[in-house]
Amino acid sequence: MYAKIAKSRLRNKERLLFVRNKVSHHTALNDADCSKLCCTKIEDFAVRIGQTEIFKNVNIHVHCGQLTAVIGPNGAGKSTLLRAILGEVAHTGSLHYVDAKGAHTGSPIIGYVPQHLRFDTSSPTSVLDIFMACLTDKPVWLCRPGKIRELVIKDLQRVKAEHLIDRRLGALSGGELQRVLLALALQPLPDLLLLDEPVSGVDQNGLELFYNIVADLRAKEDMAIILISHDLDLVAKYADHVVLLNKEVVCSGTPQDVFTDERTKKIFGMFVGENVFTGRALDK
Amino acid sequence: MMETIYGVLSLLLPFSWMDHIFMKNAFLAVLLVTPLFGLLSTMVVSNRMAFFSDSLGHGSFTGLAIGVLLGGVQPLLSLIVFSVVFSLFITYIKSKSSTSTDTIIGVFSSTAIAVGLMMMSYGGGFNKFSAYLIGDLLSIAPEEIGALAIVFLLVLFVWGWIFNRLLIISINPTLAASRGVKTMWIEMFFAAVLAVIVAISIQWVGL
Repeated sequence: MYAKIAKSRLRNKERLLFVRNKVSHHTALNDADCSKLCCTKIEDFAVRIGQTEIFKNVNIHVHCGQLTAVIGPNGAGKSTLLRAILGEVAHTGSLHYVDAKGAHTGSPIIGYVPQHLRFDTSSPTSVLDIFMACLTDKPVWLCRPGKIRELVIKDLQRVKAEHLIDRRLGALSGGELQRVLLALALQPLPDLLLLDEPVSGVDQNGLELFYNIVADLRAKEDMAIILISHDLDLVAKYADHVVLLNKEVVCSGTPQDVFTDERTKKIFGMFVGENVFTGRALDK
Repeated sequence: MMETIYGVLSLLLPFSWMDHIFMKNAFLAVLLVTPLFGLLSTMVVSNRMAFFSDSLGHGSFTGLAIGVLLGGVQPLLSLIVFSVVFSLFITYIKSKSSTSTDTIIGVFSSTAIAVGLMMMSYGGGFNKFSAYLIGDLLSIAPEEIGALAIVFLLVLFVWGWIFNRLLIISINPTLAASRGVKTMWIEMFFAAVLAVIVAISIQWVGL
């Protein structure tokens, strides 16, 4: 009995040491990344709405070619963080975008995939219409230049949704709609792609298809991706960098660092991280 | 100008009810107002602003009462100014608050109706407002048709410019923000245009 406790204590200590080393190592790696990859620096972000402080002291660096997952309980300020990055919500702090050569290039092009849409499902707006509304200044009802159709088909092919071009938005399934919105966020190709719980309520097939597309983008395109998700298994599988947000950045690092951190366990319950990582170890 | 239009109308519609000038005026006004409402209402519905437009009409009680009480000011002018301020205020509060839009509109609408009725019935002279409450299409004057034609052209222009932006906002405001649409300004602008149209058409179609 005592031996068991002692052993588990020892294991905890080892893990803590491991985490600490890993964190310092990772920070170093992170800073090194800043000089060779394009980097979006979110510095000292804080949002306050009325008397309520949504979050404060948020410092995150996101790099091109990496997927940064933001996790945290409901009401932690994750969605508001994305809306602050987009500039829709008033915030303090600054956002710097530095390209791979280290030149400060002002604000990045941002693509955004919303969590869920609140639109009239009986509306006659088609997929092509919504693309045209975003891409051209000419009113959608006026004319449809032939070129734009080819362009939209090409965009939709990227998310395997080219057959949906003439479908009404209201007639799409949850997974299809999110893929269409992803295609929309990728035109023009953004420097920073924000995904706000993009597949909540989407079935297993749709989920895998969506994440495969995102993983593909991460590998092939030169863009930084920020993903908000409650699905920790998927985060562990796809993310390079995880940020645990709960009114402020609680901890950040590689998925392994964050999921084995004591503070993560406190927030998500005891065995979340361990389950994920024993699962992951078995996969390998 | 008006004479030629009247001539064309008599030629195209040789009916006895078209013999009167006021009927011709009313006919022209209908021709201008209906497409205006048609194209604005599609955007109103897809942006879930149906209750908003309704409350604009009722809220203009107060604008009307203020105009009549001030005496020197034309009721129409105070009506337009009040409706625009009213609509901008609702849109602003809506974007700042997490309360449901209908709740906010409901609060504003009933306040404006109550204040307006109180001011109108002060001193018991409610009758002088009845022309506005019911509206009278037949009383429209040629110069008002001219003004309506200008508004019609302006709205056509606004329609072309704002349609795409409003369409994206109606899908998702944050998505619109990510595409560089200034959501709050666009919404406020549209609300103001709507307020002007509702205010000027009240004297013909009633509250």
